Amino acid sequence: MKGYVLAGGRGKRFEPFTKENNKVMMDFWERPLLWYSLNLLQSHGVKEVAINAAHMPEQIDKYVNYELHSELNINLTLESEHYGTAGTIKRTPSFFNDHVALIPGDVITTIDLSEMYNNHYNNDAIVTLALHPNYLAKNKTRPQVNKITDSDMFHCFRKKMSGVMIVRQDILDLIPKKTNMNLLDELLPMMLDYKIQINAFSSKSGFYNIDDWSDYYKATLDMFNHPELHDRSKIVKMNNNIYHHVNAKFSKQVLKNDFQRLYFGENVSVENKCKLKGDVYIGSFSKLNEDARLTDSVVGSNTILGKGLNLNNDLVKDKYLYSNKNEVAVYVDDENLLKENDSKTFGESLNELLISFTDKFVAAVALLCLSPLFALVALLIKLESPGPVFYVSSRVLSPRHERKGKKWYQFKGGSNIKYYVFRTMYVNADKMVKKLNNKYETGPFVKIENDPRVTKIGRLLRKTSIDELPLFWNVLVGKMSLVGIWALPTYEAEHLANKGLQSTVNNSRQIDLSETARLRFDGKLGLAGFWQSRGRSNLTAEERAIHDSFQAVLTNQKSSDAKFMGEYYKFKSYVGYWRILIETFFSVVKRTGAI
Amino acid sequence: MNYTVTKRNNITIIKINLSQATREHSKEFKLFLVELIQQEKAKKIIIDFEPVYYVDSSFLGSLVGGLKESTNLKGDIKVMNLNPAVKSLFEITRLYKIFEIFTDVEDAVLSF
Repeated sequence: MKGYVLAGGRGKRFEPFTKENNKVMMDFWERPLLWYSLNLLQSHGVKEVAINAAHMPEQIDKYVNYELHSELNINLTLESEHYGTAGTIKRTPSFFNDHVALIPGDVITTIDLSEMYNNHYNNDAIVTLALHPNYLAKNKTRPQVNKITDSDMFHCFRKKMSGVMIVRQDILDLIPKKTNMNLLDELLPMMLDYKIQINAFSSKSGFYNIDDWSDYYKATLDMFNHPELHDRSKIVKMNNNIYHHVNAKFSKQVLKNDFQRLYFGENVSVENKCKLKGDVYIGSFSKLNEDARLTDSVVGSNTILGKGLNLNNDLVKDKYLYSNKNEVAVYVDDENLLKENDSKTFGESLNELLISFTDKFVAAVALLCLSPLFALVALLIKLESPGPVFYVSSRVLSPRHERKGKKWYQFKGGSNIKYYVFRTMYVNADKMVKKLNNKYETGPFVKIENDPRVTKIGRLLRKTSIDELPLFWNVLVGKMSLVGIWALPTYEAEHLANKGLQSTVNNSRQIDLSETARLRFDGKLGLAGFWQSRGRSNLTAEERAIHDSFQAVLTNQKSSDAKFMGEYYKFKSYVGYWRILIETFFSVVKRTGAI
Repeated sequence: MNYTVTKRNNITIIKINLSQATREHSKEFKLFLVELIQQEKAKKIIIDFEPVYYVDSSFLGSLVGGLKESTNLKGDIKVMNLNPAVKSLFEITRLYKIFEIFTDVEDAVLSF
């Protein structure tokens, strides 16, 4: 028997946590949810496992290949979109050369898979579905206990009872090609319609479907009854049903929202007298200030609990800092508590120091050497057209996101970075850009050839990139690095954040690169980058987006990603920094592609 | 040849015979792809990256250019046999959202 963990879901009910995490990587009793499915399969002799992922697959990839150290042979399948559980298994027919146990990635269960397999095998079933015996009682509508009926299917969804099944290879023949179909609520009912038997396996074992924060909370508490599933010693039970587990922080502004279920990520701070009700999950490294109230919540590790904090039926993970109502002194459980979460390695700190030093040194030398040229250029600009010598371009690297309206996150202009460059256009050029947008190219990355707004001296400055040289000043004062990505003009950043980057031809959407293109927002601000050194303005909008996003992602890696990123990890190093710098220098010298 | 083309029914499988697919090859690769799509009317394309252990952003830019060309003509490009580091790159840069990735040629062929 093989195993298939279904992890294709987007986890919408766990937003905003799942905006940046895959649901199956959610921490549950010190382990990712995924571990429980994999552990179940392994403990029943499964050797080969497939996992599908449509959202943040790199987290699963890193975990199973570099952190888990499991004997399982795990194959991760990437999905460009979630095809539904049936659509998913239809895509990997080569894996289905044996019976396969399908386990939803968000399920924690102690079901006896071996026994279920025997039952499945002996009944020669196409599909065997696990159900609680309460639903399998013999009655008028059920002459045979082991056959699933329509009403069982109904119970399945209403009570979220199951989802664990074992299937035979030929189930794939029943799934239509190129479909977006689910197994439980579409394929199985369809099989019943066509009178294809579904085998039932009665199981009383513990079963938790972690579908929302409420399930998460209940399952977390219930784990006390299932010591076989975890290491019991890790959670400390305090009085009044409060369990101290692991860190959190909530801001006043966020707490004003009337959400029934809230998730706050790491480093959240709860301001004084805030009230949190309902199912609240608070991530690690947080701070709960005085007099905040918390009810029915789960709080992550290393949380600072303020004096007089009112906790009621909450679950707080370990390594906490607890200040007692009646005492001014604080009790520190863990000395590392107040240290920064993302501590850098020695190598990383050295790298940053070297880069920062080189930035300033090179910028200072460059400004000194270039000052006579700057004076000449300034004179020429003044002579050709009226207006200032410098043009101040207001740009943003990454737009700030804020909750607004129905969506949790929405674009709002981020903090501006001022780019002082030599003026290459006539004074009223900015007003013309919208017209030109329509005329030449749509999308956020406008590069127009033979732009009529550019002055003669401007054309020369652009071709030689001299117009950008005053940016060395920004480098010298530490506002940007020599190597990094360009901040976009505000309107372009806004466009990218809200509308994305989609190629359209004949008015129909073709390729959606939005997710890739938005990665540039995470990048580090700088002068020289991939796209400048690799063709500059000759590139298409897509190519430029890929260059920028690659650079953002590759220079943002953590030292723990070294193995995962293999050859790509070297971009993070000081050598990688110099490589881009030198490549850009020669590219500029060759004047490739500058308008 | 840097690229070997084999046909299976109406599916074109391109094997990239490079260990490093970088910007030195990106222009020729784009031309090669575009010609295959426009001149030879290849609609269903699978690109096999088996010997490739390093792909840079220029080369992938060309691949996206090819995909754009292909979708124009209602075709699709899928990729196969990505080395772990290259697969990681497709994951973190979200390129898996526009290219379907396969480990098995049969699965890739059946997916069209």
